[in-house]
Amino acid sequence: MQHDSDMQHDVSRQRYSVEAVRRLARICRLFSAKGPELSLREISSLSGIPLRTAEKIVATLDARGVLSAGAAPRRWTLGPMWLRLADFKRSRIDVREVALPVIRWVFAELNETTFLGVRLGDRRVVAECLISTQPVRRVSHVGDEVPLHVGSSGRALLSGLSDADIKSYLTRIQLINYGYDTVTDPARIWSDVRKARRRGYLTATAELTKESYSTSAAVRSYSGEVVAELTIIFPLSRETRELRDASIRLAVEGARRISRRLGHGFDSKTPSA
Amino acid sequence: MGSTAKRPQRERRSGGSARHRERAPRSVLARRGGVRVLERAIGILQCFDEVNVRLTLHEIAERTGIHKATAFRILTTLVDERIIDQPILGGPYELGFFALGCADAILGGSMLWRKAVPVMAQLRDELNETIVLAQRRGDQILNLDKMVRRQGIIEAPTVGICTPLHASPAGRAVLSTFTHRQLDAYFDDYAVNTDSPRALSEARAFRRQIENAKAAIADPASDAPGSLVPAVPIRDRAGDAVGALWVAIPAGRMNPALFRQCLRRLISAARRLTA
Repeated sequence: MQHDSDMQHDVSRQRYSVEAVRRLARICRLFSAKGPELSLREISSLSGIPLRTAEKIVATLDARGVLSAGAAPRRWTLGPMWLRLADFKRSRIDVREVALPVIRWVFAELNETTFLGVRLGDRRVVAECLISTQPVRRVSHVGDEVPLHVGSSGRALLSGLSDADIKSYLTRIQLINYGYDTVTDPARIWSDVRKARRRGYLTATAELTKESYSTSAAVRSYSGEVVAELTIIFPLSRETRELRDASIRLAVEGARRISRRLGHGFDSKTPSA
Repeated sequence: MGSTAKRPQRERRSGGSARHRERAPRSVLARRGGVRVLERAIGILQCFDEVNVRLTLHEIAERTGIHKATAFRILTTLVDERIIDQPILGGPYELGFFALGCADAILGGSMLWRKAVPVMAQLRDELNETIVLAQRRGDQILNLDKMVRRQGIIEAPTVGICTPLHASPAGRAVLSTFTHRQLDAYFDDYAVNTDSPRALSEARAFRRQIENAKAAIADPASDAPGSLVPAVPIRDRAGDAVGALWVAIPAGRMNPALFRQCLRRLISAARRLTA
């Protein structure tokens, strides 16, 4: 059942809707990479806007850079204004800021150490971290870094690279044991990369310290690129099947929520109303 | 200011003087209103930039000069259409992901961009500098996309800006492929279309810059006089310049040796794009 305030909000949204703005959006949605140029007649018939009205709207949008003349005469493309706005939007997306509310939500569910890792060259660096308040806890800090093949967090980021880039990484990096039981076998690393790509998460046991268990899931940007990873890490002494399952569920769901906030899976063809 | 000074503004807002309003049929007024609201919506979108990432209703109304109630109605529709986001109900507004979808449609539909992306990525990694792809649009040049240097101090020019060919290094690289006759025609148009009384002397200065760009591209080992922005034209198979590749480097880091290194790499990259 819809909440009262939601219903009121919907009613006010309908009341305040501006048809001309809806038409602007409808026209812009007609263009795609496969159909980057449209004639006025196509714009009118595909959008359902009468030809004469469409002509006036297109003239206004053309004059303001929302649309621009295509390569062929009497055809239009999306205008440079969108490139400019997309550039602003892209340059101001702060993964850490976007992820923080989600990290807090994951943390509140389990009270286990939760962090966001990002790739910096060949290393995974902790960009944000909330540490468990339980008496026995796994500690991690902002700025902590490990090579990309180390731990579930590193390999989750590694899985976002192209196969050629992973091959290049594995040849230039010395695969040594960084802690207790670091994976140093290239075949195992490749197997984990494939697993991370297939399942969306990875787990690791006792790689940097003898007593920890971690689950990591990749965070993707609007373009689908892996830009970060979300990790839940706790002492092995607390490990149970329930906690393991919960950490997998929350890491995957948390990474999905952050990815959505970064625009991953956004369908520009669909209005929200 | 008295009420007489305010009247013209009020009349403009309502679509003309009272006499004209009486004469115009309702449908014409409605259409004029539609176009005006579109212009206002676009004006609202253009309030957002790299600095003004989040804006409140009050700030938007102030910047655009639109009445708060009107701005609210337009913003509500822009949010419904997901062009603008309002993460918290009643909170500030920010650009939505809609613009990224539109940019994808523009870039994905460009053959030049599709061919250039891997080349730009390779150049960016080799030079560790920001690489910009510009596309020629008649007598203008548009920065289409950029791949930004990963670390340190960067210069990140804004994409989606159109400038006349002579007014940017990328455009001058395109002009360097013109014959003397084509350049004469281009600058004749420039002199006709510009209001500047110095159009002729400006045209001469730009022609010198174009000659310098031409000389540098022809021989990257030579001492390049003038501006140190490495830019080269991209030609199609018929030999016509369809765009340019250039490197955006902060002036403090640029030096002749780096300029020549960038130019050599750009020339080889541009050849690959033509092939």
